[in-house]
Amino acid sequence: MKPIRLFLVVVALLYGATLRAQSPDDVLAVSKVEAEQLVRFLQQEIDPGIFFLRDTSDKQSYTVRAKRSEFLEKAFTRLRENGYSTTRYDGHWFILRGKGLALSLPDGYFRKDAPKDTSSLQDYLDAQAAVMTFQNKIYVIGDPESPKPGGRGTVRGCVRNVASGEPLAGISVYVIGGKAYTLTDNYGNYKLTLPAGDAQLGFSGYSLEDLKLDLRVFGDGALDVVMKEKVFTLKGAVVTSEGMSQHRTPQLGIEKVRVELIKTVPVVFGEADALKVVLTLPGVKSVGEAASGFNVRGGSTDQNLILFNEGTIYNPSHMFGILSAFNTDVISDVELYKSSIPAQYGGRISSVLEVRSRAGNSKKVQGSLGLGLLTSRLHLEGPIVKDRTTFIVGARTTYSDWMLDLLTDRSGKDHNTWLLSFLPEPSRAYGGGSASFQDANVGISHKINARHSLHLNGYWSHDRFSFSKDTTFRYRNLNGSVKWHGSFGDNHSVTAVAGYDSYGYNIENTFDPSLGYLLTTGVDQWFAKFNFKSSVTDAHTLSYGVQATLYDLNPGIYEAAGDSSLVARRALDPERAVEGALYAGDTWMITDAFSVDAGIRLSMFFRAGDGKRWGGPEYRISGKYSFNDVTSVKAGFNTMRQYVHMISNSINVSPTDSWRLSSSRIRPQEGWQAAAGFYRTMLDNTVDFSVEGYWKHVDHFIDYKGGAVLVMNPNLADDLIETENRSYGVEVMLKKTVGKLNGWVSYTWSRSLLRDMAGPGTQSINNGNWYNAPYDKPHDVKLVGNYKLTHRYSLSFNLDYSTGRPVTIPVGQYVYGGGVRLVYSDRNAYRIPDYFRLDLAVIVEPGHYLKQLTHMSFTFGCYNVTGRRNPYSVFYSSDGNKISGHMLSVFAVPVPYVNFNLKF
Amino acid sequence: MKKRTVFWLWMLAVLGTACVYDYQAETGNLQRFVVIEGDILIGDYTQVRVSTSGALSDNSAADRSIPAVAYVEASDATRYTGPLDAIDTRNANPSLQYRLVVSCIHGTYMSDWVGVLLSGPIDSVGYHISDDRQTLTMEVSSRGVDSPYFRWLARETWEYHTPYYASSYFVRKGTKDHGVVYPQDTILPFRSGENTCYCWNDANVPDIMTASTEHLSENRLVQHELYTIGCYEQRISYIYSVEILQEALSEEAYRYWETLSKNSKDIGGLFSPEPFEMPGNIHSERDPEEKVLGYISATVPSVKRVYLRSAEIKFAQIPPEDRQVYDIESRCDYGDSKTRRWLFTNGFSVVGRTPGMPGCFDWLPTRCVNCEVWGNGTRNKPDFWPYDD
Repeated sequence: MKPIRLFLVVVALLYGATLRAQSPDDVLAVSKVEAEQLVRFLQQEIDPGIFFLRDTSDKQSYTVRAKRSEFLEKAFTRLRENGYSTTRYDGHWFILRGKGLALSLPDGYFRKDAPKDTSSLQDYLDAQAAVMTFQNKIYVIGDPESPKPGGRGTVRGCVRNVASGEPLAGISVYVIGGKAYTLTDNYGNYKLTLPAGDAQLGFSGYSLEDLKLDLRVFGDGALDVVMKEKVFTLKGAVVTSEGMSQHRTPQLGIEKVRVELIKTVPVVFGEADALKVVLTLPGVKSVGEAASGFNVRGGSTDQNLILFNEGTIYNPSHMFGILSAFNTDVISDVELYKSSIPAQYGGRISSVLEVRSRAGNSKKVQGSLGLGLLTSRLHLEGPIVKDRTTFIVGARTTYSDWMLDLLTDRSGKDHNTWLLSFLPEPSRAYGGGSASFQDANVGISHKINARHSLHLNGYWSHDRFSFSKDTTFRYRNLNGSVKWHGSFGDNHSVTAVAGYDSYGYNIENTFDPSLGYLLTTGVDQWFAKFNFKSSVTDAHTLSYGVQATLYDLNPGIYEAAGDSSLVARRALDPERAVEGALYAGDTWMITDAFSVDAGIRLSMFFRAGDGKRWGGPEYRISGKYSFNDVTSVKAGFNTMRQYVHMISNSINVSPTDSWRLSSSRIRPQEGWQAAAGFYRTMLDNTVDFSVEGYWKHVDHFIDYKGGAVLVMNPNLADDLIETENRSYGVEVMLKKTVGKLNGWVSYTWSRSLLRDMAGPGTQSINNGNWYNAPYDKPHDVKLVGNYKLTHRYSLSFNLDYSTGRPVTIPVGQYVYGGGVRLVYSDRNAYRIPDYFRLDLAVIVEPGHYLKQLTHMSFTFGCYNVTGRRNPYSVFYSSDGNKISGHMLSVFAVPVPYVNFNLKF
Repeated sequence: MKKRTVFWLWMLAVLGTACVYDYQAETGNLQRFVVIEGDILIGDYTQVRVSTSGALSDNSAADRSIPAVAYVEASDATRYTGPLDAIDTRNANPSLQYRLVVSCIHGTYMSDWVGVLLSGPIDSVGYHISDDRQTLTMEVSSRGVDSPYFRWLARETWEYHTPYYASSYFVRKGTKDHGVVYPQDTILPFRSGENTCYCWNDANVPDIMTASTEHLSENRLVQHELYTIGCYEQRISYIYSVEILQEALSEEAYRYWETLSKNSKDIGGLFSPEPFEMPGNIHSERDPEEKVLGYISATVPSVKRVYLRSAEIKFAQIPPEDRQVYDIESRCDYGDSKTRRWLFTNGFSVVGRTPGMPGCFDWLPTRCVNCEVWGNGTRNKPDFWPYDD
């Protein structure tokens, strides 16, 4: 047996107190002892009424050092972290490994047929019991014998899913009937300071059953909580309001969507898609159907920072934008920051879209299989070491090649084919088009202990498509990161991430053998981020950190493809740079009603090669004032800088777009946004109403000269035009998050205008006057809803109306060079017709047969129910005598779909 | 799900979801712009065309040319003059800079000064036929000298024949034929070279044909594709000839033509570039802000003419819409003058004598035997045409 190293360090530190005085301020300490010795120490020094059941498998050693008054709670916290439960019953403490002491018999205990197996049914009942057990007792927080001075106590803990053990992020934790409110962080942790005395703590989150716990607060303490997924009930108490966060946090313009909601929104071909749901949020627009990029508050598509588990995704689309790069089977939630961007984020002007994947089930292995019209999907998750190490893997692939072949066989004959009509006129004459993609996600989470965890994430995607047999486009995303999350003491936590992101594309063209070429471009970046969070006092939460990104861009390599090609290899100089940032911010709850969030970010950009340095401070400030629990106003101002730019002269995000870094000749984009909002929760806390207005200005936004060469141009800066961008708008939204019917309706009025910074003159775009940005769509109405018909059946709908986007169209014609040519209007001077679409879907959830091994769900739906011919673009053709205008509509008829999912 | 089910769902979902519809934007009153065309060809005649742009709804084929006078000015102040379609720049010095000056009702316009670029020789002009034998594509192999940027203009001439060969023709009474007035309706044999079956037609290839060897290891193009002809087209039904004029362009001129080309065809697709106009190099003397359409280059061109016989192409295909022509049964006049008069006034022409029936002639619809009706061509053989048929 190991020598027992028990050091009883009784230090009479203060005021010369004697050893036996037992002042609550005495400091007690034990160092590196086993659980049994720790308990024995507790029995001797604090409370003889502690009962302990030894677990020989526990080899953990414990070190506790605290004042006498806090020693018991500290020791118990350490024990709980190592899987012990501490239950107070009849004036005594019981310390047991694993499940706590049952204070009541589970339901059905006396029934003879009570299941005794360990099947999923038993798990389910255990889970039910666990949740029930939670709700039916009074939790004592702090030590009743020595209440914390000041009459307040801080309760902290972790919120997990009862079935899978996964930590739940973004759960509202609040005092019912009080003001205290917080949200769980990405690791499910929360911390809330409460007044001493009895309190009822509420926990709520989308698609989870609300939880109410009775607390008796004496001081600081821990309370881990499990929540279970909502089995829909037709009646039942409803207290939830996700909108509550609107009244508690000072930030504005934040939209959070959980994956459960993403799965209910009807989308084309029924492939649940996070990005398509983002498009249903107010202030978010796209240039048309099947467009993968999105525009936030009048910003361009490259002004959005898209983070997937901390890694940057440069091209978030598959199949020309019909699908997004994120597999909904593995993602947990999506958060969009469109106004108050925390100081932690930077590098893009308009928005931050954070996509997080789940950690995986920590109790048992499970998975799902999905069959859609475009893709098949598989995902698996489960514990590697139960309750400690989990994994989640997901993969998707297409089986649509044959379908495209079918379509392109009709090439050239008519325009009524689907993909062909996406193409410029000349390409339509050639058959042999195809498109496919694959992607895979891997995640491993390891709980080192209750305070430290390690996360590994990997993502890979590959797209390949060709419109003709001699031109092939390919692009690939690759991301890998390792993240460590730890907390130190009660008030400090750190997240350290290091990772690698890569995006690359190439085009291979062998149409003309002597000119056959392969064009490759790409972005590689290595990054490291250290983010710290400290709760200095109850009122202040500080966040600060340091981040660095190393860019290595390949702006273009053009080389011969095929033996007979005369193409000489040509490579543009690689672009390298380092972007660094230091940031600090404070969320200051000045009073319950008034809070401020202020931050500063110092960003720096060092361009290798030309040695140019850019940088400066970015300010992020927002504040909130609540008139009462349900009415608040907020205002915010932030400035941003962007050092990487997407070079593209098509309106859609196209695979041929390339990225460039700021240099001595390409200035960084700089912008600011001021926003203000009014928020009110109405109708028994079921409906959240919000109005937000914003004004945004961006300088040095890139536009292009007529005849600009964007590919393989070593003097690219000569072909660029710097413009200023001015955007403003008002977003009104009504959101209902609970009840049989939930969803939102929003109306946005907004403008986004550009102006050539060179000033007036014929060489300037539109003579130097303001012109519409290509994504300027002033009016926009969105309605997204889900209606639960029964437990298993629900109906979803999605309505979208917007003003047509601006276009540059021919307004005249002339004969030149032997043929008829077109005279174009001023840039973006006209608009295509307005857009309207209604989608419907019926979702059939699996039956609630618990013993069943697999659960099937179906989605039947129809995209564009009214069959409206929504224009994507307009173009013109000539029959030799007359030029006629045409309108391309991508989904011009109702598109029905069915999607099938199997969970096991 | 069964594969077949998936298939039908696919079909439902995908086929016909995308469509192209007619669309006309309300563009209001259009400003008309002056259009000036006419690259300065050193060592050749420079042809200038001055016109205006029209509304989108106008007939494209309508001639919007306007009267003008023009001259080419060299940097040594020499002026080269002549009619619009033949300014004599044959003896101009290629080492000078030039500009085009045009005066018309809208004012005086002049191009920027441009240097002369020497076009390299055209090695060969050829063609290839697509694997499915549906199209023929003309190709050029060339070398660049001064510039890696090429532009070609193609003037096509072709000889074509009517589906039927007529050996005789009808002359109404009282009309004069070869100096003779015939008192009665008469049928006469064609004299040599007067047959209505052989015609010639010509046109400019409307495609913008440019190329760049900027990124190639040599300033050379091998079998570079120029334009495509469909297998049914009249152009290649008998003898086809094309004169390719090759110009060397400056980088700016190349971009101008490329942009013009993209703006005419590569628009409206999912990933299509936005149509951005590029300003030309012609300015109004009176108002420098006035938008003038056109770009003037100066070059020493190279020219090559080739001939192509349908016999060597071996398409031997008859357009579906013309197939019925070959099934038409000829009508016999049985030597009856009333029948002849009726046939003549109802759009028929004589083909030749009916075999085995002396004094009788067969008749066919005129378009089957008269090439001016059949293909809108002319029976005047071009001077340079080397073949006698």
